[in-house]
Amino acid sequence: MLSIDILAPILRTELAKRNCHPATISMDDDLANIGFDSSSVLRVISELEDQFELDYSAMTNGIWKVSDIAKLVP
Amino acid sequence: MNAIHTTGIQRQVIRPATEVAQTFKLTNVDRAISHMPVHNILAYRSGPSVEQWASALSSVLVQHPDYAGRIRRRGLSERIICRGQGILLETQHLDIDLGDLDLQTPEHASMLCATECQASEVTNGDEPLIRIRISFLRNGAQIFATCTIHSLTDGSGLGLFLSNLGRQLGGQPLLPVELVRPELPSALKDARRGLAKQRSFLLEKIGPLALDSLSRFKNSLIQAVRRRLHLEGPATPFTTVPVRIIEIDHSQVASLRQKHGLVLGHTLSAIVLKAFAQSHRARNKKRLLYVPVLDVRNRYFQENYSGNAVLMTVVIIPRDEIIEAPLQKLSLRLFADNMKAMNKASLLEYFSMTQFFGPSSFFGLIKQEAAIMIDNVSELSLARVDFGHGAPVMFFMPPPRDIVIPFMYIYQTLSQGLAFQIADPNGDLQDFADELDRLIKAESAHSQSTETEKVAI
Repeated sequence: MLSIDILAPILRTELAKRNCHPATISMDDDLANIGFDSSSVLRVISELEDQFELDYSAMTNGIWKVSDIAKLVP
Repeated sequence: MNAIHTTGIQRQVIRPATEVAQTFKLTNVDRAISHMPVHNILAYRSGPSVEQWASALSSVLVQHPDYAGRIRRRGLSERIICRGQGILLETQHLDIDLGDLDLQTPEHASMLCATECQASEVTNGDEPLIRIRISFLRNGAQIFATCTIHSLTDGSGLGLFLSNLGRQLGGQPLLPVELVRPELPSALKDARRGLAKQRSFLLEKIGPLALDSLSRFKNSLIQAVRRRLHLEGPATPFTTVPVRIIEIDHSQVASLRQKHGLVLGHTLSAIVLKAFAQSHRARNKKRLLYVPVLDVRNRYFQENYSGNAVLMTVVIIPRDEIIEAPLQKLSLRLFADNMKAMNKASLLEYFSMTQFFGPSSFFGLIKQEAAIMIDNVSELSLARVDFGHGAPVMFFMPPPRDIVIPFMYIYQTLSQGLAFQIADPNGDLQDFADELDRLIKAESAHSQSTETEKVAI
């Protein structure tokens, strides 16, 4: 599972494009609540695709929280 | 339906207010989507005068000089030559009230659509790349219709142009536009690898159909290369396509969002595939071909990029799997497939292959299969464009005329609902439409609380 230290800057970069700047980002945060929509989530995962070998079988219940993205990186 | 009397048809070329001399090479992403004409129709209760439209367009084209240029082929590349040539503005008066108009009927839509540029003529260097037709109705209402070339821009690029047109009419500063068109990486060795992968993919996945498909693939590849070398004319034009639209309202969308969250777009595609798998077109097929339109804007291109940032790919899925898999499992499979298709390695192969294997070859290969193309444009802002007289009261995206396989637009309605617009070159997918209607309404049936955020899908 990807650590929040690595994931948070990637999330912040994407959120900044949407003019969202949450004070903190934790694994338990709801992605929609911190400013993500479908497209921006797809772009983050697309970014991770280039950096890691993602395991989509870990995505058993959809993408709701920050931890759901982190789980894609074994 | 009574005939509508049309008067005062005028055509004028609108040139940029300031002359610009620039050349932009079409990227591999521009060319991979083809020169297919794309139409949009917006209806307003009132609007500017012809003179105001012409003046505003002329000013905005300075900010969007590529849209006022002409495409010319030079060897193996295509360039937009910008010398201030301009866009086409057509105006006409229609003897009808807005309330009597039905944008979605072919009779009305064809009268309102801007004159289309044939894809085969785009590169002759004379064709305006954007055509706008404004129809003035009896009660002061206006219909604003655009026809663009997909290789010039996509829906987001057009949205930026129209947003700037609205700003110009409203006296607001224009939004900046990124005009530089960067190529995505490709390489000849990857072209070979891409072709080999495509071949083995067909052999492994389609089975007995592969030999036939492979033969057609080879022929279409040869034809594509010959066309590039000017040895052969363009492909035969296709027929006009009938339409059926299935709509769900805002509360049903909210219900779907509550169930499926941020992968809802892929859930919608999965529902469409489940319905398609039950159609007579797919019934005797072992595998279905899902052709999604993927958006790489904001990933490989900036948000305010002027060119095209969408591309097509293909996913082959066993029909049994589509029917038997729970909806969520199928959604997640589509999600994973799309993500993998957009990573750098996949795109390198894709664009290497498309150097020689264009859209016409691609569709030539799959048109006999049980294939469906899905373009989810629900995040586009076109339906909210305000030219200073309020938001549109009606909106319609006619299906592209050049399609050879069933094609679906999924777009947001003016009341924050969703529309599933089915187009079929053969006009024989009523059973698919009926099944989709049933499935989408069952899946979006209300749960306890439905009033959630109004974000696009």
